[in-house]
Amino acid sequence: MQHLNLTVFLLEGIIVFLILYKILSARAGRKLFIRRIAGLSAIDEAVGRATEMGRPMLYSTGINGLDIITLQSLSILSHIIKITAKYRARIIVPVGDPVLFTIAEETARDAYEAEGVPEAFNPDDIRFLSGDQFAYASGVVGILNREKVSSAFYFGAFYAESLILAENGQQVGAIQVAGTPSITQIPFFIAACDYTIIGDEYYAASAYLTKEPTLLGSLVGQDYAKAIVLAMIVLGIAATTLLAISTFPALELPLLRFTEAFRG
Amino acid sequence: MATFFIPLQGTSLYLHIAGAIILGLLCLFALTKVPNKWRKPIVIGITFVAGWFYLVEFIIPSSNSMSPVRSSTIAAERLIRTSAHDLKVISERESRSSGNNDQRLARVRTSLNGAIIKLKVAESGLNEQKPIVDRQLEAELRRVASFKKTNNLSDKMVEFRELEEDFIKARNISSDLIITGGPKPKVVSSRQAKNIINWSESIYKASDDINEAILRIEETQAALRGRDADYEHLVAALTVGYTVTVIENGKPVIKQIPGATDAVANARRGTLDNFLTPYKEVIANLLVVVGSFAFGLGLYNLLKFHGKAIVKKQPGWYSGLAFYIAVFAMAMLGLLKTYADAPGVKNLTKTLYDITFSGGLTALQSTMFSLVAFYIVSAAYRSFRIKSGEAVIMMVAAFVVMLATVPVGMAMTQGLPAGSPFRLETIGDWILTVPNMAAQRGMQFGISVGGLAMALRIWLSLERGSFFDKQM
Repeated sequence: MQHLNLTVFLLEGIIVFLILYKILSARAGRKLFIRRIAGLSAIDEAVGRATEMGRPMLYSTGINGLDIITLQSLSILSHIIKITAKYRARIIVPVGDPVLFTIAEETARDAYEAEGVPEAFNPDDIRFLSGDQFAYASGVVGILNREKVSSAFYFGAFYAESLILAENGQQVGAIQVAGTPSITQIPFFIAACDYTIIGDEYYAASAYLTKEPTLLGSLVGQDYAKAIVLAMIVLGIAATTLLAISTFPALELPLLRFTEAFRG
Repeated sequence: MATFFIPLQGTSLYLHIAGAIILGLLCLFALTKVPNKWRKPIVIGITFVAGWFYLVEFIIPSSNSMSPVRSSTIAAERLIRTSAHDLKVISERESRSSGNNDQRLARVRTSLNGAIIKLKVAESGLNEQKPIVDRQLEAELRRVASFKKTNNLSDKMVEFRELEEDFIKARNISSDLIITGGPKPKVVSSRQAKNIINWSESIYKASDDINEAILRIEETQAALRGRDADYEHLVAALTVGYTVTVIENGKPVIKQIPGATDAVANARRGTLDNFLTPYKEVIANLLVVVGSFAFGLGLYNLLKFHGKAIVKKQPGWYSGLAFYIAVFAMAMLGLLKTYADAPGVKNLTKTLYDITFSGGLTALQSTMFSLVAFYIVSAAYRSFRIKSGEAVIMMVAAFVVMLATVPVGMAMTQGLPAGSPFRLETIGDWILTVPNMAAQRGMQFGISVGGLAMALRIWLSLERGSFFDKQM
């Protein structure tokens, strides 16, 4: 069982402090910059395309249950549904987890209500397909082909089914935007989708789309945290290299203790 | 609260299941009546409290009785790593035939002696715990015997003997008491017994790990006393371990021998549990219960959606009919396979179950998975177009890696000496393990920090959007 050690305590403490500090700083009114992320900017274009063509959109949350990744996916879904509600377009949300299904349904209902069009919400468009990976994939493929979706969004945790979904979306001619923290699936989405959100851009999506000060501040805090991690990597490389080439015995023990600290 | 749970059988079992379903539906109905303005604060409050539990459980140390074990193992690990580093330097110097290593060797011997002393302190700390745990196990054993007598469970029906022996030995304990015959219900021992068993296993496993580490150190010391010590092997023995081939039942078997530092680290980790750790399982079980309720909602949604399609004869309504047939057929087969008693029915349902699940579902899953191979080809054909400098680099790298993994590619450079850096498999391996792995790790750092930030925002109710639009 993993428990706290000094290295983790210090590192996490610093990261948490930075994130909270930047959140408070953003709430106090400080303006923060976020660079353009092409995939997220394309969401409006994708929704507009669906409205023009009169064909529905599809949003897949992946096959994970309720966790951090799918909560982020629901944040993005909420934003997309609000845009969809404005244009009176239709969006189908197949879900692969029963717990997530209930939350996705409530998220969608709230989004339509927030835009003042609760009557536009169709509960049948939020569907629980299956918890099984390939049963979910075949269900989504069926929806893609039957409904001839014009735009497809894949935000969440994906595994082997990612290419199946993306290729079928490509075949029906949908504009596809994908974002996943699953590193092993990013190459498939890059190959098959029009826009792909890579790595921690996925967690920046909610801040980018909503421009909420809390989320922007958190994003800047994350950047500082990554800078600290980078500094630790550089220091660790330097210490290990010095340890390997050093001919001064007096330096060896301190360097060894320093590199052991990274081990945790 | 019952100390042992014997599941019901027959009619009373089905009545209890029906009662549990009705109770669950009533709970769901009550929850839907909670006003929306209270629902989200309740969820956010529970999230906050649960987050505090996990944070506190992660931070607080184990009991004071384990403190000497913890500090001794940390000190021992440090001394072993220092020795391993010195041996590595000695090995490199000897290969270059440079420098005098006597001082360093003396330091190695001192460090290893110090490590053994520390490990013996840790061992004695664990030995102090063993009688305490053994007394608790024996008390549990007496309770098992009393329960058996009170409930008239004979030895022929209940496999207590194995459990009794294991309680006494405090090793390889089975926490399930199995009643033979019937549809295999289980008598499950209480949470207290499980905690005692888990703690006992941790103590004895940690003790084994420490003994393993002491053995590695003593091997190293013995090797150093001799001539021509293999320093690289000694470094491995002290750190990551090594493999040996032993003959078992006349066949050669490769065994992994753990390194001293790994063994000490395992020993330390096994003794870090605190008084909150056993309750993590309780919270995990709560999630299972909630998930079970949610599964019913998901199934209801599917039944409603496809039922509407059938009733209104919407296009593709036959898919809905297939869904209904599949759901109820699979559910009935699964239930009958588990609960059917009559031999004829049992065999028939098992056969049908094997045909539908193993023969049907598994085959369908494999079919879907195999489509990935063809989709990879079409995706690669579309994406590997040389339109820019980056595309050229990606194309070349992909080409080399693909060739490096197929026999044809390996055959192209097999004329080069083994270990040559210009062999295709060496280049392909380098591309995958160096630049590719560096990029993946960099992304993983960013993703992990992003996940941490989001978890922090949710825990402190700072998250905005979708479910978290109100500041608490």
